[in-house]
Amino acid sequence: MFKLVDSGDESLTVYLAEVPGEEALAQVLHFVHRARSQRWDWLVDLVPSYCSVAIYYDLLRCDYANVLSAVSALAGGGSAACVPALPCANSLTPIQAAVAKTLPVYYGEDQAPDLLRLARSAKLDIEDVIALHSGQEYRVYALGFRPGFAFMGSVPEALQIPRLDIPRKRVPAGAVAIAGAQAAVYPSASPGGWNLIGRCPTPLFHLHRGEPKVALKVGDRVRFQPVSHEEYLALGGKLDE
Amino acid sequence: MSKVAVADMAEPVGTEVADTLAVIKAGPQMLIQDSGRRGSQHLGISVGGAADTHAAGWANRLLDNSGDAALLEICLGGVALRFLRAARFALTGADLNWQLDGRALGNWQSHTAAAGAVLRGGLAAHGVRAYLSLGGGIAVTPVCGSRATTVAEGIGGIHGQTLQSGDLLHAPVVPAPAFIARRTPAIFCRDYPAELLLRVVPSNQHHLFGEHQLRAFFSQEYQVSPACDRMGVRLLGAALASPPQGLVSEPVTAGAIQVPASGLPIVLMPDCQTIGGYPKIGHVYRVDLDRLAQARPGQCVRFVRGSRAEAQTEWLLQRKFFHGGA
Repeated sequence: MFKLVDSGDESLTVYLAEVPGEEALAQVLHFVHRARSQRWDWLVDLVPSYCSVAIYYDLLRCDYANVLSAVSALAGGGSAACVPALPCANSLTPIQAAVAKTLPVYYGEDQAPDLLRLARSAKLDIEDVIALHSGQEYRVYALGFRPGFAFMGSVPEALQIPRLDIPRKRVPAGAVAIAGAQAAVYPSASPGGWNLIGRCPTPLFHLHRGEPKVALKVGDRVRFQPVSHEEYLALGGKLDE
Repeated sequence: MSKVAVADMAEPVGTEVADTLAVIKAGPQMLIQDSGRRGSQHLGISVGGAADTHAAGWANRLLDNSGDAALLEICLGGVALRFLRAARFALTGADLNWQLDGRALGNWQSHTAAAGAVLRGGLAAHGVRAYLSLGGGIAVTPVCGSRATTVAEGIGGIHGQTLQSGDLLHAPVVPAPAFIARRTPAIFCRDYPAELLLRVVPSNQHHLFGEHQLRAFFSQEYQVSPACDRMGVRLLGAALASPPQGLVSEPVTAGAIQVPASGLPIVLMPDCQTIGGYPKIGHVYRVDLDRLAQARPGQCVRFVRGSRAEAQTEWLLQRKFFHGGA
């Protein structure tokens, strides 16, 4: 699939799949990889998400027709399994090359206000909920909502519960959350409607001398690693807020 | 990808920066803004920037500032500021009946202030946002190449927050040329009338909306809801029946007109999130968002079909005018 649609006065969105998932993600990563390697001087940003990529361009540096033609030229340029040779001679496809990351999680109930309710609704022990949540790998499908907020999937079916009816006014930084099939960790304190089942001590977003540092990128493979109260604190985890 | 923009916005090497303006009274919202933080949306960082780029552009142009210079965006008014040294400044956007040491000042003009002078702005009678620029632009540390404040993210400006009384604003000490007060030509001055016609590009998920939904959208008069801010403007009116649902979340940008299940549209503004899951019936011309940024709750808004080519031509003209592009 390759469908181009205008999405703003200086943006196009290219749709690469209908259904979110591993295959869609592979297409998205492949497209981003190829688009980046073109080094278009009018390119302002490439924003990947589940099935599509937004291409933000600068009208002071190009004509719309140039953008359309350059982007269209990437259509059908090989499947995700067949990446053109790169200068760095990396033989892996972008999705195979995805980095595996581990995020420690303290599941103590003092930092997991929705864990007990989740266990009850899933008819599971809290230990089983933790084992299920931390027992598999997740993929980062998109970044959004807040700086460094990674939408991850997929939560095991037994743990899938809807968002809260009334969002919390304040969710602390590091809150480990699930909603439906999606998992996330709140990078900074913000309002939020997801179910909070733990807390992660790893900073997911911070600014270093005015430059942003994010822990997770689209395509990353993520595992949650249960840690004790002591380990959580030793890793820099906070209990306040 | 945005490194060029960073270099463009840096102060000239060796420029001395000095305390220039002290906030005495900040009003409901006073923000440091510039032309926005482009190129970081892939990290989930919103673009932000002056909501009314027309008024902000003129405020900078009246002082020969760069189009990317940082300035103050003042929401609704009720502010007071003290000059800590003699400086040039310009006022545009919503008219706050500005006074400098009790003397009335014209809007859409540049002015000079003596050290110690106090600038007061009352409440806007029309429009929402006033802009105050300083010669050389406000100097604060850029984040991802921009000084724009995004309050929801706590990024930019001073600690990522709306300014408070006691905050000090710095600006470069630029050699003062023989100063002549300048005015925005009358045809470019805006007074933000009560009725607004917004032109729409049939983009995004336009094709998923049916004939009756499009007719309802383009024929009715909406009202700006009190729920309007720098992230989005909600509209009140007759709900569109059964808007499309089940869209997979995708990147969104300012101007997009989201139609959630309620059937009432939301126009995304510069501080909008980078990703959204509601279908979009199209997008408002970027140049028309400047006018929406000045709309008050209760004000009437209508939409009319436009074209991508016209939207881009007008936006490009405006950007070239204020940013001196090729």
